[in-house]
Amino acid sequence: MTSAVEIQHIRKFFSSSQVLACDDVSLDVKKGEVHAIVGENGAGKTTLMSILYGLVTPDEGQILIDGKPVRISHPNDAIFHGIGMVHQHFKLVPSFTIAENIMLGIEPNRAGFIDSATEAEKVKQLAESFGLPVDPHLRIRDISVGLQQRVEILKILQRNAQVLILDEPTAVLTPQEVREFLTVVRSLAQTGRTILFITHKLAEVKAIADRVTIMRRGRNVGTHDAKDLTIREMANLMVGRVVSLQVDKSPAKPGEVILQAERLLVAGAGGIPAVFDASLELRAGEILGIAGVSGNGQTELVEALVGMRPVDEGQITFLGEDITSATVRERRLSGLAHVPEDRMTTGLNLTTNLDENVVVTNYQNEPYSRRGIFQFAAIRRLAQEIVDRFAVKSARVGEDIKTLSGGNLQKIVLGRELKGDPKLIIANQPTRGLDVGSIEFVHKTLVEERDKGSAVLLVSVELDEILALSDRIAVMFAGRIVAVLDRSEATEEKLGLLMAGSTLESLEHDEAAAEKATPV
Amino acid sequence: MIDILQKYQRILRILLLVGGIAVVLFILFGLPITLLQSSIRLATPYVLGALAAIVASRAGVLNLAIEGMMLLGAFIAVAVLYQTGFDPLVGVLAATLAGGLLGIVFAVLYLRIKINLIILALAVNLFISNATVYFMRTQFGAFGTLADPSIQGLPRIDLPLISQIPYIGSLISGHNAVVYFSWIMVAVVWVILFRTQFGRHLRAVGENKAAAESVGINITRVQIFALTVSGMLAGMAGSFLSIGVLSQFVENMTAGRGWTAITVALFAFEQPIPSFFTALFFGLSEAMSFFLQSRPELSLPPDLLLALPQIATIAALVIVALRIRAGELLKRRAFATEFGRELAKLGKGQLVGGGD
Repeated sequence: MTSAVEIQHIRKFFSSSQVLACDDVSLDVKKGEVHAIVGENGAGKTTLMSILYGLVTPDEGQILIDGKPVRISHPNDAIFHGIGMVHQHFKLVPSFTIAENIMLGIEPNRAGFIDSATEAEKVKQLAESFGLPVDPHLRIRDISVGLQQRVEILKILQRNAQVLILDEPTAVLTPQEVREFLTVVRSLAQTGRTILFITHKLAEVKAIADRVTIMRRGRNVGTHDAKDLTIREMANLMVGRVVSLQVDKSPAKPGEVILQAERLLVAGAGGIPAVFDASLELRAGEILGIAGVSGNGQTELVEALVGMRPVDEGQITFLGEDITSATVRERRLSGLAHVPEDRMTTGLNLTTNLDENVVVTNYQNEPYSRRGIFQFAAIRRLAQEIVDRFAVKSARVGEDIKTLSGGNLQKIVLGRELKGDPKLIIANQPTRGLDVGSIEFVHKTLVEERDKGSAVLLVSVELDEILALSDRIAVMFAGRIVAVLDRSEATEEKLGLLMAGSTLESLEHDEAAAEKATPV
Repeated sequence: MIDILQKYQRILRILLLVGGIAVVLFILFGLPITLLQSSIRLATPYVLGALAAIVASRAGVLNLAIEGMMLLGAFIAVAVLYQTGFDPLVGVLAATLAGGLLGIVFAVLYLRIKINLIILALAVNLFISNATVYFMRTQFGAFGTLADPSIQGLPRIDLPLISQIPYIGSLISGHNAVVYFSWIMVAVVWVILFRTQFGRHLRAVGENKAAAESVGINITRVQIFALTVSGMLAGMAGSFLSIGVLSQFVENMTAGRGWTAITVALFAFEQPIPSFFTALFFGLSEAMSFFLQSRPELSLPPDLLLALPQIATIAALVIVALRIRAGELLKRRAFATEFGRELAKLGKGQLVGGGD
């Protein structure tokens, strides 16, 4: 097999953040293969792909396409050389139709006037020739995320891409959509196209990739045939040490009811109910995982529970008291901790220093203030305590935190929230964007808190995380809690179907269908 | 409220339609024809101003400097004609070019030097407002009003054939060139936005910059072009104010019409053709204000009459806001009904948790 893309000795140093993102990276991608690039966050995989697509200019090194050296300084150059990229966040115009999006920039026209009929016909033919049928007249805002991704792929195929770069393509898909997507990738490879895909889901690498390149700290630490490595070996190579993918935990010992939410109706952006008739109950000493594809009301549910979003109907009871209309501070004082979804904006204030960030939830109380005056010695002791207890690397008392890595920032949030032994910890996507080492740490911490008798509500879009940590699992779909399962009765398949809108009843009634859908 | 709306949707729709036709018929046949003629004429700055707002906004730039661009156009048109003996159309052309030039300057300051859009628009509006007064005094020695016999207003054009049609002819015929040009521009802007490659690129830039950029569309170029066209349309609207109606320039003579034009565009969902009809309504309210003032026998309070166009603007803004709110409520209701049906099947809401 010949090489489709050769990347030779690429080096990229970002002077603004003092990060050596790519350090002498070489990569040889064969024609017609599915090549996965895995690595922790900050390993340089996205930078490398951005260089290949012309979004970032490398300091050193060169790129060869079909054996010829090329200069790619703009995405247009990349498109010219047959390289297309599907970004993690789709680049589609919501009010345009599928055809209008696919043909954007290359519209068939007569003297500048668009020929819509030809356009729709072209898109239809393209879609059919790749076995990816779409209705060209549907508008993007009316179609599912999975279909939007198909439009993105068709968009780059229409531009004759021979090399397709896919940046974390499965992050936003339901497990069923993922399976369909993987089939599409396979069939594209069979047409002779080369697929480069960035991921951190190692199971997908095993399922689909011919070869896998593992990146660590800006270096290529090895390209292997995917079948030669186990998932565990890949994980170890990514981190550079042995990691435990399993979370060690004993069975839960549920105690008294800590949190009860009854038939909540919560409005989201634009007044549309984001949470619809959701009820849940959480006991001390257990972890309740909330699974669901991102954007199905999890964020709004969490915000309603912690007091950041008004509840339209329903009741929230915390430790036997009605807190439906209590303020955030009242809830926190009675023992609620919140690890927010976005640590950069909600969890922390990156424009100020460590001390203010750790005391912000408790600044008005002794010993941190006395008679309205801050007690800086006490605040510094608190900051030091958190840094020591959670081993927050390179964080120093009194200093800025904006240069810290995601993992260290999350440790600060956890340190602050777990201080004072909360009765209830609500953690929304606590490991999003963290590297494997930090994920391990967060998981261990949450299980420890559970064992100390706290109730933990864990919201995550990562099924693996939900399955690894939860004692019970609730599934959210379209704002509703569609099912709650015991960990023992939950399988990835079952959760996946529930996350995609099936009901428990239909699953039970239609066992034959469920059988068929079970992975081989 | 929403319940009533949904229950009687059909009847309400028919009532609205019948009511709308009745209002239009009343306006057409119940009001004096001179009032309608001046409504159509006075709608022109709103038509052009709304198009200016649409072109910019569809390209993703909220042009809040339309007021200033209009005022500049009004001044330039008069300044060019002052004791030069040029044809009034030269004034219109100069105003249009001046508006376009200000549009380019605005675009460069915003897109290249990256000045905050709101601050920039405030600065442009204030600067033009004061600069026109300054030049009026220093260059022309005029205070408050700049008028001169050498400044000729735009002549009326009688359309052949059309002027022969009874009633309609007298409404449509007999306006000046800018009025007719504004009508043509409504169609031109619509065709460009929705039927040409450039228009599609412009709308893509306005709706999702990243999407446009990823397919190689030059965003800055599209936005500079859009702001230039926006400025030209606003400049022409200004020339209509100074030489289309009175053939004189008065300090701050735009009197908020640029802002009203933005309201018109918002009210019409940034669509050129609905904007045209919305603009006609604002023209009517302005004409009505003049008309009623000339009828002392009606003994209406003069302050209220003067404020008529402003009241119409506020009413339109309230409707825009209510419409957004009503849209939210309707969406919410649709969501609730959809899931209510499923919930009914489930019986009681699914209770999550509990060991029982």
